[in-house]
Amino acid sequence: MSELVNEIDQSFVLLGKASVNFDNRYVSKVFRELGPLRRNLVKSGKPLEVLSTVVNKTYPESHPNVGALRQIVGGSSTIESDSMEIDNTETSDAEILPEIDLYVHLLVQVVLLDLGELEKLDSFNNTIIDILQNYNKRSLDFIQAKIWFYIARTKELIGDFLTIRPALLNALRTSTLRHDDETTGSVITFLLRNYLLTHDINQASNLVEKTVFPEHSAGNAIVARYYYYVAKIHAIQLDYSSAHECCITSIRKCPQTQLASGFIKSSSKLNIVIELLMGDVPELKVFKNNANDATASNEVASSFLPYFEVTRAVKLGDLKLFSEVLKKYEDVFKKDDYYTLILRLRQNVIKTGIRIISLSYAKISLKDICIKLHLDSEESTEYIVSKAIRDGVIEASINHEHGYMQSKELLDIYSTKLPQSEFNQRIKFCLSLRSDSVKSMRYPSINDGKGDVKNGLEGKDDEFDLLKAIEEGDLDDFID
Amino acid sequence: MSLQKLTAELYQSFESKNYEQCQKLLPPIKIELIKHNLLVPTTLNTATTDQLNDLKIAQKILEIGALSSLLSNSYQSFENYFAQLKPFYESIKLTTSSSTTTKKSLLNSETTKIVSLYLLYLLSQGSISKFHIELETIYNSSQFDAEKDKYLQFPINLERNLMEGNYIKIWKLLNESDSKLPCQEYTHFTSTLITALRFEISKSLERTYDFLPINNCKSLLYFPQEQSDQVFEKILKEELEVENWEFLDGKIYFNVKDVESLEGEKNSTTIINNVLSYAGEIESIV
Repeated sequence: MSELVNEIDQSFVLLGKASVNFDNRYVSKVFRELGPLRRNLVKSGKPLEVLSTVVNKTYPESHPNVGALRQIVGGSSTIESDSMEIDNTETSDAEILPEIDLYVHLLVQVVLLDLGELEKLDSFNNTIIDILQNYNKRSLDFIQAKIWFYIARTKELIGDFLTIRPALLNALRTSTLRHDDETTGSVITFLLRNYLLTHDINQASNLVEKTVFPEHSAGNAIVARYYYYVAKIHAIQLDYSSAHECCITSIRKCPQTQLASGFIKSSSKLNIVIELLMGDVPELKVFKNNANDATASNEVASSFLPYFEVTRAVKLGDLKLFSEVLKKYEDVFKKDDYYTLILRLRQNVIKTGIRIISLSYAKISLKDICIKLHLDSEESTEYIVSKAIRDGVIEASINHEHGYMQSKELLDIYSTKLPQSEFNQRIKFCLSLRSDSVKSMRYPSINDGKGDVKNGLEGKDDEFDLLKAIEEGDLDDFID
Repeated sequence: MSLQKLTAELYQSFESKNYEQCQKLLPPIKIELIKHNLLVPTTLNTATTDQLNDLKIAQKILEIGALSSLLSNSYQSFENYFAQLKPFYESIKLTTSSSTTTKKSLLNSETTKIVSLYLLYLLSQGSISKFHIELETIYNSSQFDAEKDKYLQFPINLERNLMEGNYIKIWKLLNESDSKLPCQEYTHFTSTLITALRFEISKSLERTYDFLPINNCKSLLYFPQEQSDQVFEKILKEELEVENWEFLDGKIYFNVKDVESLEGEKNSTTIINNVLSYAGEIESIV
């Protein structure tokens, strides 16, 4: 138990540094430890006791926030505070740092969430929102963003989506005005998630349109999430190509560790559905890789099975198989919230069916197509085929008088502009990758070289850890 | 005049199908509703059963407003009324307390009728994206059962067939005798939907065929055979905005090739633009 208290104390030191140097990297380092700390707190069996010691140790008796904290963590008994008296007198002179104050609140949030005390947490959140409004300091940005995460998460677990919205919108306004990119980015994603969970697609798409997401300054994890939600919105609005772009970005930006596997899983699923809707067939690799990644659990492999079967049905152009799969896995798709998207695939099944036929036959009667694709009548076949031609699925023409479809000669792809545009896309991607990496490079400030020789040594030791922390990003959120 | 009196009058004129009168009555009623804080359901005014009953009356009034504006062809105001009705439909307290069965309570009700009319309206306007946004809410709501509801099934089937290109089914759906349609109000959209349908077909036709006998073209577009060729040509040009359709010797020739030559010119400009932008980027790198 005392180890844990020590650990928390250590992070206080780092937070102190962050406060003095205005360097948020120290905060990210603290957050790197937060994941293990959280698990250890749960393991210790009495997380609230640990926190009450910490609270007693750090907060002076007169601090305004002490009351609310004590109410939650307990241990406000006079005996305990007596035993801590020596420490108290030590710290009470110094004003408690806002960073540390908020961090303690964050720890209490996490512990309450892990204990499943949602009611308590919810009321505690209200006091936190009040406290947040009192502080305005740039070194708090990361902690604030995290705190908002748990506030939004609590409301979601309770199932109350509506009441949190005004508070979130307020937070968005404040953080935007303060150029607090980390909080702005996170709050936007929480709002989007909230809207999407209640299926208010209109609101969500309005939010995306009206706000500027701090793409370059917010953490990677947040950006990945943002793109995932945007992809979903676009997909529902039938704008598949931008949805696909966003989905790919989200998968690329997502931290590639075990903790984020859940996120990767659902965004890959979305990607599969979008690719199918666009008329592409996802590569077999996608299913295989995702199955291999988690060899430990068959659960992952089986969760992709429905999507695999849908893909197969689309690829074969078999309407019967498609409806069977749809019926069989209806619950899975509904649970993953892609059911409406998959319903739209029906037309793609028909189109691929026509495509396969047009590739294999130079000339075929409409009646045969009708029979092969299990369509209703010859007339409807003519309309469907003609729609497919119009949508550019096949290159063919119909002879109405004799009732047959004639495929045009396959064009040599290199005589069209297709390679050109594909090439253009790749060049653009490489160029933007380069300019992004140039922009995100860190340059040492002028002071670093000369003024802080004393801090230099200490700084170098920290530097490595800090870089590591940044590289890994804060992945803790992905556990939920 | 008091709210009760106005409402009674509104019901009466709606019953007697005097929709103009309804439209005149509605604005003062809405002002009264605002005064009584009944126009929008909030958590505050849905607490007691009395309030819920009042709100239900307000909902009824708005529904009449939506229907009467639809029937008197003012689509804009139909859209407005629907927007005002939406909070009522989304308020769980209002929808669940209305009937004994708690789940999927809105099956085949007045509510789904209005929603389905709105969906049809979106379809006839060609706003497919909005249509799908609405659909997303409907499929995921606990109150609607899209698969079983006779009203909702209609626009959903329509859209699905439209996307597949199964136009013959749509034609059949739209031309079913009025008694077979789930509700009378749908007939209101049939003419716009048929025009939309013909527009879609004509777009497919010009890409599919090199030429087509006029008679066949008529039947494919569901125009009566008796119609004279001149009238047919005129309708095509005016309503369906077809260009480059040439009438010759009882056949129609589709000339869509000139579009491609235009594209060719566009291509070279895009290539030049692309290359110029690469040059700019490379310069900044070097």
